[in-house]
Amino acid sequence: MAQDILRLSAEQLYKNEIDALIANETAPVPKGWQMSPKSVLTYIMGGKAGDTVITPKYMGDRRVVEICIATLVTDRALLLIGEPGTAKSWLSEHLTAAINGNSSQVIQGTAGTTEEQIRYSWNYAMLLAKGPSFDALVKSPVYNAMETGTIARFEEISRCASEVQDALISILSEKRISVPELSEEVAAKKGFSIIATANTRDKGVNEMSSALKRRFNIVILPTPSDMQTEIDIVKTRVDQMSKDMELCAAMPTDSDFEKIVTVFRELRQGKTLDGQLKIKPTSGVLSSAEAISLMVNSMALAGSFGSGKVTDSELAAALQGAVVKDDDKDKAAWEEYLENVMRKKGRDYASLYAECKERNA
Amino acid sequence: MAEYYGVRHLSPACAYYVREFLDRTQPKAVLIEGPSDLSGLIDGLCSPKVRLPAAILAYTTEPPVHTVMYPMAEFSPEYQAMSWAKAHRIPVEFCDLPSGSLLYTDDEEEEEKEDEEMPRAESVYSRLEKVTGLDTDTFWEYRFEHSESYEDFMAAAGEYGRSIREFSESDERNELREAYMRRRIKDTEEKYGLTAVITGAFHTSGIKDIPCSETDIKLTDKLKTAESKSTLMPYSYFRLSSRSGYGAGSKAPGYYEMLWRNRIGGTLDNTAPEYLSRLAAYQRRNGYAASSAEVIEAQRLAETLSVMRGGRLPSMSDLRDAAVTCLGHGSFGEISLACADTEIGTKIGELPEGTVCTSVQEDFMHQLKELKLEKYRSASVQQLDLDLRENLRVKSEKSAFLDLNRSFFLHRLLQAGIHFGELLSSTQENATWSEKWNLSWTPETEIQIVEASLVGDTAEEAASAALNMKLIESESLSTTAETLYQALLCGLPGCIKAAASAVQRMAVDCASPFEEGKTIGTLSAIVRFGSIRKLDPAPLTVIISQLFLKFCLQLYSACICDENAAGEMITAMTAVHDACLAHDFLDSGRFRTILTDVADSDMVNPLLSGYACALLAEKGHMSPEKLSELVSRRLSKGTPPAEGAAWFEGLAKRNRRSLIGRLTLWEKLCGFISELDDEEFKPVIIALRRTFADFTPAEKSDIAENIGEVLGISAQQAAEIITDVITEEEQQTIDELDDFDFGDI
Repeated sequence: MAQDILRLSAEQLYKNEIDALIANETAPVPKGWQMSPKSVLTYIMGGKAGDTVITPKYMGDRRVVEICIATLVTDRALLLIGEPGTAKSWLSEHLTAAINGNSSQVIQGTAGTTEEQIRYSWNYAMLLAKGPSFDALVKSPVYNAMETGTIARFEEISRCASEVQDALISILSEKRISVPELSEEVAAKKGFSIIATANTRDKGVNEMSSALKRRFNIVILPTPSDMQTEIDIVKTRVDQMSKDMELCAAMPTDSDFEKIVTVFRELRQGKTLDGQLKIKPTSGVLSSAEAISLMVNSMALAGSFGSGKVTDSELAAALQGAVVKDDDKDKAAWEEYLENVMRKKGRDYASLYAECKERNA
Repeated sequence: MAEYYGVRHLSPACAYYVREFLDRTQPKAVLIEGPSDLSGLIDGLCSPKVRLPAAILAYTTEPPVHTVMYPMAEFSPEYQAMSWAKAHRIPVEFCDLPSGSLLYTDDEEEEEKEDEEMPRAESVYSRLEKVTGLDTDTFWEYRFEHSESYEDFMAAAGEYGRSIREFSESDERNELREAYMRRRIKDTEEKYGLTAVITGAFHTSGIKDIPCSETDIKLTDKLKTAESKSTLMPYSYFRLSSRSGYGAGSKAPGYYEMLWRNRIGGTLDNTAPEYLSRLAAYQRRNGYAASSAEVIEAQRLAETLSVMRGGRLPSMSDLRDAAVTCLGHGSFGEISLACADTEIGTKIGELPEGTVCTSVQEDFMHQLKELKLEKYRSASVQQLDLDLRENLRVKSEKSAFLDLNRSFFLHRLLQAGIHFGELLSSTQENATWSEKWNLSWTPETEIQIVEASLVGDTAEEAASAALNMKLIESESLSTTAETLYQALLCGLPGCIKAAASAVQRMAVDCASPFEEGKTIGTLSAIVRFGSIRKLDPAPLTVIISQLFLKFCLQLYSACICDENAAGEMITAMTAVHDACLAHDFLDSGRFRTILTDVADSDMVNPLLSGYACALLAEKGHMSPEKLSELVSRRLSKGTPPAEGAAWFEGLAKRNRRSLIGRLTLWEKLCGFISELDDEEFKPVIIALRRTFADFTPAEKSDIAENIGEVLGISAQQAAEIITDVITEEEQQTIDELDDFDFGDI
């Protein structure tokens, strides 16, 4: 059964780890949680529970995760902000999996999300037949979370219209939801909270109202702090994906990974790795996720149309596509990078430089 | 038997409990870690006229200047011990090596001396971090600053001292210091009786209950010493926070003072809300919203964070992280200024007049003597002329470059805010080798020198610090380049390097080719004339190349602009053109290619297009055929007349001689003008008048001759017409042109 499912949820995939952590619990467990904050931290960052090894789910700053968990302990809502591909949704899924054993109470924010999807809607057949009653109520994930004292997730909150987002204000400040049609009010049980995610690149599309922002603790997820971590992340994921997709190409070499991650990091941070030179960043999103898809893309290219081995020519083509997104500005910035930085990196980069230069001309 | 108390410098809890320790032990004398020959300064430091922070400073009198510094704030345990002893009228002295020996270095040791306890200390702390999972400051705060009773604190402190001793090795120098301390303890005990010994926790384990031995006495009998002087000096929280290393400073003196006030007030729990409220208050003062609700949420989050890490109260890192999340909405940048204000603070110490004699003063006097400037140290203004070139008639290098070194010195003083010399503007243009100064000595100068000691130990250091500050503050490419130039004047290679990389950083964000061109001009001049000030041009050439590349990439699109911008672009293009001629390392081919595009394009501003032609033609990079083709096209019927005129204006901006000699050009121009009707003629005549306005009379008559040739009249007649007095009627017509509306051109 499970093998046929394209993607298992976090609590299904890591069931044995969660069970081990619960079995070995020593610290006090907050109301509505299934394990203590410390165990949640161990689940996310990796470690041991009894004899069971807990794999790290999030490679990055431990402190960030500590702040996230502490926020949820204080019954505040959590807003994760970051560039695309900084593991926002990933982290929110695993947090809810560890805290409640249920990561499925999700609202996906889109331009079409309505207030009913946040609060509740009606089963109209039942409503007409029986009149307003709890039976005719269709509860939203948030409503469910309030009733059960668990955590609901709100993905890409900044994609939905501001007035829709504002439906959360009263829910978060009064911790209750009123159903005027039934003259009833449902109070949230202890343990209820919301984890929302938002993309920095969506800033300004639907600006969150300050009233709503004030009800969230905001944590900005950083891009991987050091080079090696990022190379590891990219490599592990590329390996997994190429196996899943059965690409007929050899894994790119370590030096290929290093080159791509170097270029990405330098452009993203706006300076060379040694910090000596400042670089003009380009407009494209150069996250680790983008690097992963770039690598997978080159592998697919090489496998289907090339020699089966990723060469500088494939990398250059993929880089051109990833870096020069917008217009002439990107092109000029990329040329500046090539001339000022890559050309001076020496022999290892010589052929990549030549390929990139040719493509950007 | 002596009583021992190990401290962490600048720790409020240590400072608080040292008084209790002294109250309990009731010693007859107090010894404190510090140069034993400087015990005389303790009185001055404890005087009620002193406002802390202040520091005890010892420095070598011979260059290079080395210093040792003992900064004290109100929450320094050493200071509290001193004032306790003063209040109880018992002797208090220092017990470390005399300052001369502390400052003494073998030449080989030099490097290590720089940060005395750093390498060892770092390894201890990183091990500690591994064991506890907390950074040192947080660990210290949880364990010590928040401790609730004397017993708790003493037990924890003893354990801490022992373990850092265990994790680290003691070196020869440290052995010597501790041997000396043991000897001093023995002597003091014999003289006064029960002695309390206050030293760094690391040393306590090395001297506690170890009697002074024969070897100690032998070891410390003959100490190598360096010539040195000492003084008290005012200090600042800012400087305290910028010094690194064990015991030398504190990252957050403002926050620690808050801890201290709350500790002596018995309200330690209030520190966290006070910190957060101060952040919020700062934010509000500076126009940001910060609600009480956010402060409350931050407080709750900080508490939870500290509980998760096993602390009783939130530490500063918990508070700051919570503040970032709640008050800063996730980003540190939003509250960074508020954090600096609260954590570091702006407090500056004060000392009574006449008590200060800092190393900057000493350095100043020394340099005056060295540079033979002593006679200028008088109230009357005297002029000094400097010739910076190497004086070839003298033998020693020192006197050959005397004037250059004088110039460096005077410029450094200016940067350090010491107005001893005033630079007069030079009468001769571009005389980079000559400078004129007015020198005079006023009481203000004296004060400025003492103030400079707050930023550095020598005039050179103070100037460097001031320049680095300017770099941090400067916001535009050209001001940064200006700072680079000043660093060159001061002869500070370190600063030049820092400024160069700042220019590079600025250059990346610069979107205006005009600024870039101007900066290329400035830098190119620095490289060309810097040799007189012994400049190493290598780092600058890299930046020039980068700016040049960027300029080239933007040049074409920047040339599509209005008339005002075109004027600026001409300045920039000229600067880059000159730089290309002066430096081989620039890819002048790239610049030429783009100039050719600009010259050829009908899209760009015609003035710039003409100017590009002029630049290319000047160096023979445009064939006469091509030029005459362009002239024909630009001055033909298809081109709007005003554009044609502007193009000609651009072309005539350079190499006039060769233009004048080119008869075909004048033929084309004459043809162009004669085909115009009245309405078209007006804008053209304005542009042409502007074009020829800055030609010399001789050039004008040459042009007249050419035109005469074209129109078939004699040169004489043509010149007469041109130089003739304008009639009233003509004048009126010309005046009317002033009101001409150019529309969109």
